[in-house]
Amino acid sequence: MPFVQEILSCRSISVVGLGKNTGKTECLNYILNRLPADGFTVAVSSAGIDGEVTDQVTGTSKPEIFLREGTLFATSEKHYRERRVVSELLDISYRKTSLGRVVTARVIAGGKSQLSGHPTTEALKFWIERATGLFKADLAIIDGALSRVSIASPAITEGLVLATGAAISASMDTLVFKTSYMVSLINLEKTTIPMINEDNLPSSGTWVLCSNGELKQVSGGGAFSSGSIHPDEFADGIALFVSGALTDRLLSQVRISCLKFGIELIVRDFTKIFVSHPNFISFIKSGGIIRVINRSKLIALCANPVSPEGYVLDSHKLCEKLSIAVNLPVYDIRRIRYEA
Amino acid sequence: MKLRSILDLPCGMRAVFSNLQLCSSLSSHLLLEREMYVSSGKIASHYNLISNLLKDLSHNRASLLTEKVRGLLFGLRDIRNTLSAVSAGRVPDDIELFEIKSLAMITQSIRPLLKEISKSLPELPDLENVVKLLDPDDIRIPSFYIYDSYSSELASIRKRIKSLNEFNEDLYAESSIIEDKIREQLAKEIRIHIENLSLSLHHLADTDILLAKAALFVRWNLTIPELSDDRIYYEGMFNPEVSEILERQGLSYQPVSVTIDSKNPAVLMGANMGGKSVTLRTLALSQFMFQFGFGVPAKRATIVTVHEIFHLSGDYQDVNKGLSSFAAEMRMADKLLKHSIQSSSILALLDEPARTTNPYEGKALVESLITILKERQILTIVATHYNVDAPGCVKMRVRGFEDGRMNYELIIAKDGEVPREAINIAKSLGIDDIWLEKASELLNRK
Repeated sequence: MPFVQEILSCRSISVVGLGKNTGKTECLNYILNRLPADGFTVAVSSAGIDGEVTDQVTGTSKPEIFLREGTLFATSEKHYRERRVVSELLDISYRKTSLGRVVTARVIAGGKSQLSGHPTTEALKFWIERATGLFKADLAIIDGALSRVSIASPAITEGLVLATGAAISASMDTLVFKTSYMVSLINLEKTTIPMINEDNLPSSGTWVLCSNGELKQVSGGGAFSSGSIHPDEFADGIALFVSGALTDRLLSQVRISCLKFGIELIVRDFTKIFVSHPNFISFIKSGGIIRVINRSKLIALCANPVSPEGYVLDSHKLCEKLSIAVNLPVYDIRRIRYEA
Repeated sequence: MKLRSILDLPCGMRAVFSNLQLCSSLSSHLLLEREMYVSSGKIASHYNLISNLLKDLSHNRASLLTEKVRGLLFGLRDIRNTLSAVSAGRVPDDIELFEIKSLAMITQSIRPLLKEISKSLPELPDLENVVKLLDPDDIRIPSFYIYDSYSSELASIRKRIKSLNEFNEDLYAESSIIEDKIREQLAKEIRIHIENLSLSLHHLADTDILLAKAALFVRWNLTIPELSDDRIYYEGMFNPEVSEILERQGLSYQPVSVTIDSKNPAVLMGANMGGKSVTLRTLALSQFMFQFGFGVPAKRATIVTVHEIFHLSGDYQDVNKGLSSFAAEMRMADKLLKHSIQSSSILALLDEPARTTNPYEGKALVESLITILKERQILTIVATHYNVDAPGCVKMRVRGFEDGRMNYELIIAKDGEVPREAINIAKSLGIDDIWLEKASELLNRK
């Protein structure tokens, strides 16, 4: 299997879809099926609520995850009750999600289940540590949703597999363009500036990072009220840390009033960037630097040439074009499955 | 009166609750639903239990065992709903069976420990049979599924499922049917033990609460008071919350001694900033702590058990009800008077009643209120700035400023003595000199 070696070198990976129906679940099943079976324990869970049998938006069917014997998995109480797999219940979380608490179990005899998961990034991080520590899994795989609605961020895993597909756009050029923009966000480098209390950064607001590593809150620096970042506030600053979402408006503000100070812009991870492509490019072209705190290594790109509406792009051409644009190997999972 | 209902009263019960280190959320839930003890007999036996427990816990080995118990109690979950559903006939699913098994296993691990720590801790029922039922392979790990050993038929179907590469719907359905039958059988057997499971759940929560109380006793230096029928007396009373704040600032709390007698209402006079309100708040807090079995923050204490505690804390302006602070306060006092007709088992703590009205009428209102409460033999303490003259009451005052420092000690005031500290205190705050001198001049002329 392609890219399996890269996956095996990580303790945790997430599989993330660029949009709905890009074949993320298929990609996940593909990976699960091809990992070594003997003496290798995989733990699977999901970031956020994601796991109806049919897609709530488009009405297309969503495959369940096939779980092999010995696999650890975490899902909500609701989906655990609906599982079709013989499994041993190991642990129940104390925190509730909208689908109940999160249940961790081990597969006794292979079967299928929906995955739904952890309500916050901290809870997800904690679960990965528990699964690979206490329950001795060799690899944790997170079904990461990119719908970006205040759910756990997949960027805390070491590696990342991105699924993209015709569902994003029927035009191959648009698809390639959107995918390569996302790839450039994922590939943003990790900041090298040391921060005090890195594990416990503020959960909201915009902050000036001073040369001594301390954070100073920018008055009125919220994502929606960033009308007035005052240049005086950067007196001792070497970077600007945006705790929440990086919006177009905030980025323009920074470009106009702060770039001349030569400061770096730091965000938590790529999922927090909600900036349009032109705005992002003009920021970078003006000499701006964006760095992240959590970075996942992009291991591979999977492309699905079939859209839920039924049209099909040329698989070979798509993979080739994407591969040139992002400088990474690109796989059409359905095709390699048939060819393998 | 439930603990939950007094949590946000101004006396500061929330600080007591949040300083209790409970392991399980079930315990805090049950504790908040507890009713206040109003019978001296119950209080006496509760404190007897705590006093024995504190003695047992002071041994070296006990603290080690207690930590072990507390570690296990973190796994205690609120499964009251599951237990009542199973006892009503519902068949539990795997999640619920897992929770029942956890409860049984925690019980079996904690049971011998409690016996060793102290006789004052609850005796847990023996749930070994439940553990055996839900752990047929005797693995002693708190995980659960419908094990192969429950049915040889199930085991063979599962073997077939495992041997196939593809997911087989039919085989899975077949195994599900057998699993359901097993669950039904398990439910039947669990139902026999349901009372013991429920008993253990409550006993474990009780243990959690008792251990947390005992830890608070030690941390806050709390005292078990003596009981009395007509006289409340505190020696070296302190406010635990305020004292912790002061300690953090490198200061210390000056404990006070105070007496409240049902025959002679206490009137507390004295300077502003003299700690009158804190004293009344602490009296209210101590009374609640006493009647909920927490002990009291004092060196020594004698306390009367009452049915009701009225603490008029001052600012009652209630915009929602459209009442002015005077009206709200009058209503509260009125309620106190009405209740005092029916029962004298009341502690009345009145912080500057009628302070928002003119001093002529205010004084009369306070004096008459004290007189009535005295007649009805209500345990009463009133803080006031009015020079009240009610016969038979004990007047106390805060010692006040001495060498530029406030002495919070309470002493018996001489008759006719009007405290004149307001100007001195204002001076110490650095208030405008011209104003204060003019005020002194006016006073001297009178």
